[in-house]
Amino acid sequence: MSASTVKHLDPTQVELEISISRDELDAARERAFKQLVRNAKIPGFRPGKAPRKVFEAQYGSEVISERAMDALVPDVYMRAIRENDLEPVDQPQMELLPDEEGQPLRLRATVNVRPEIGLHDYKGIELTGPSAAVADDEVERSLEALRRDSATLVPVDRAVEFGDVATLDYEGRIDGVPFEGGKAENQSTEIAQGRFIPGFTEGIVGIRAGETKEIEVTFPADYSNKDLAAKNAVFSVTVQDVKVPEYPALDDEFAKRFNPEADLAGLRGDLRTRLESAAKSRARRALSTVLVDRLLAKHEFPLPSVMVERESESIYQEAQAYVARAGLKWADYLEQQNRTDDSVRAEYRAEAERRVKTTLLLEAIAKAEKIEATEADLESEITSLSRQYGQPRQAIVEMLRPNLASLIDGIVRSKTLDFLLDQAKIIELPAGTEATKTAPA
Amino acid sequence: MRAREVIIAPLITEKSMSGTTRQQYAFEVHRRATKTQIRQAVAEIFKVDVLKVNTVNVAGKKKNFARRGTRTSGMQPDWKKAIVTLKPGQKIELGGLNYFEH
Repeated sequence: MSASTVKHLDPTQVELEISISRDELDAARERAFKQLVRNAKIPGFRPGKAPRKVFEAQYGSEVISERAMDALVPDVYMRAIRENDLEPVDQPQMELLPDEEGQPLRLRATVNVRPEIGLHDYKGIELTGPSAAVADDEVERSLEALRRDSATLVPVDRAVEFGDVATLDYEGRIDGVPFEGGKAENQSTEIAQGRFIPGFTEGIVGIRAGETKEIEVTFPADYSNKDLAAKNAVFSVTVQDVKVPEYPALDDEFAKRFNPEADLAGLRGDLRTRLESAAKSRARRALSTVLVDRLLAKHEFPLPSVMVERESESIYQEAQAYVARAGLKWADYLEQQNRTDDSVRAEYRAEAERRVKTTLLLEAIAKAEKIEATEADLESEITSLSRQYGQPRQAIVEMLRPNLASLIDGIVRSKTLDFLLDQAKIIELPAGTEATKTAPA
Repeated sequence: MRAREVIIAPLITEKSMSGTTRQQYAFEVHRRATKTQIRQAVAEIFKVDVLKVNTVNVAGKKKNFARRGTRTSGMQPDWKKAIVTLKPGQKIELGGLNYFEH
């Protein structure tokens, strides 16, 4: 049997000394030989039939030893980890100690482990957060938005007014020269303030379909395109047609468009349910953040530096990929943000520490509370993912298979947060209290 | 003929290994070696007592070599096999295939 001793190098790193008895080693070698001989070609013997001595004479006993160690080492290592109740966070560094004849074989494994986390007072934390209640006027607002979206456009024969939808051709010139982005044809647009640069919309009002007008405008000084900012331009605008959006009446007929089974009250109910679930998840997110902050402040423990580095590196890589996708060079981005690579890295490191600490803490709580992902949790997660991506369950299962562990971790984490939120004393802040009834226009 | 010339190599095969439980060891020996010579040679090299020597002349196999266009055949050499029975309790370490390298 193997035996092991543990030495803590620091709170997140241990040195394990594992000794493997001769008997165990011999047994492992015999197993290794049995495996190897199956594929060994030795003249005079059918595959797998050669005695060990003959095999060793031809291939050398080192081959057997190596294979034996390959199989034995992970095995005894895992056993030592379990016996000593350690939770490694990365792969161990293994070292074979000098062999002494007749003595058990000794291995030294150095590995980073999860620190011991002394949990306290994680239940009943007082939190203040926004209420998840949905005010009546929010329902009315989203009903109104629905109505706007279902408008039908009716052509009219009159000059453009605010609120109309007009189809425009236009071309802008600065000092008589056309500029890039200043030209469009058949652009259907709602004539409303703030859509274009100041003066443009106002200029269009009053044009009749088929008419052309020159509109003089000045680009704002803070315009996003620096080449155009503060320049005077002349737009030649032709109005193709003018339409008035006609909104449907808010009645049961309208409700039937969205749900054939519902009347207007039913539609209001549906909207309310949808808003409520959105508000609830928003509130939960907000509360979770506060909760995690509290927990982090309450608990102090050393973080395994490998985890922090790994996380920090991955944030760094993500940031670089993000900047690259935006079409910027990393160096240019840094300059634009007036930062250095070092300062950015330091910031990411702090974030990484926070994330690692959160993960470790939540996992420790999950363990203490025996929160686990059940078969049913997994099932419902897969179902919801399958709905989200519009893919059959089987495809989702296939996709997840290599990442099953992280999926389970995710479920446990979210269940732990739910548990903590359930346990917390939540003080709701009233939200959306001004109940101004907006009359449908 | 000296002992090393008589005994050419130990014959290590599945079949010959099965004889070792009965104190029987097989060798490839010189084509013209006699049982007496084999007995003496084994005794000299392995320091054992030989009870019995059985020999058999093994005919070489006919081998065909097919190359593109030409087809030739050849013979493997004939050889003599000797199965030596030792006195009970004695044994020969055949582990080292290269027993005649000193």
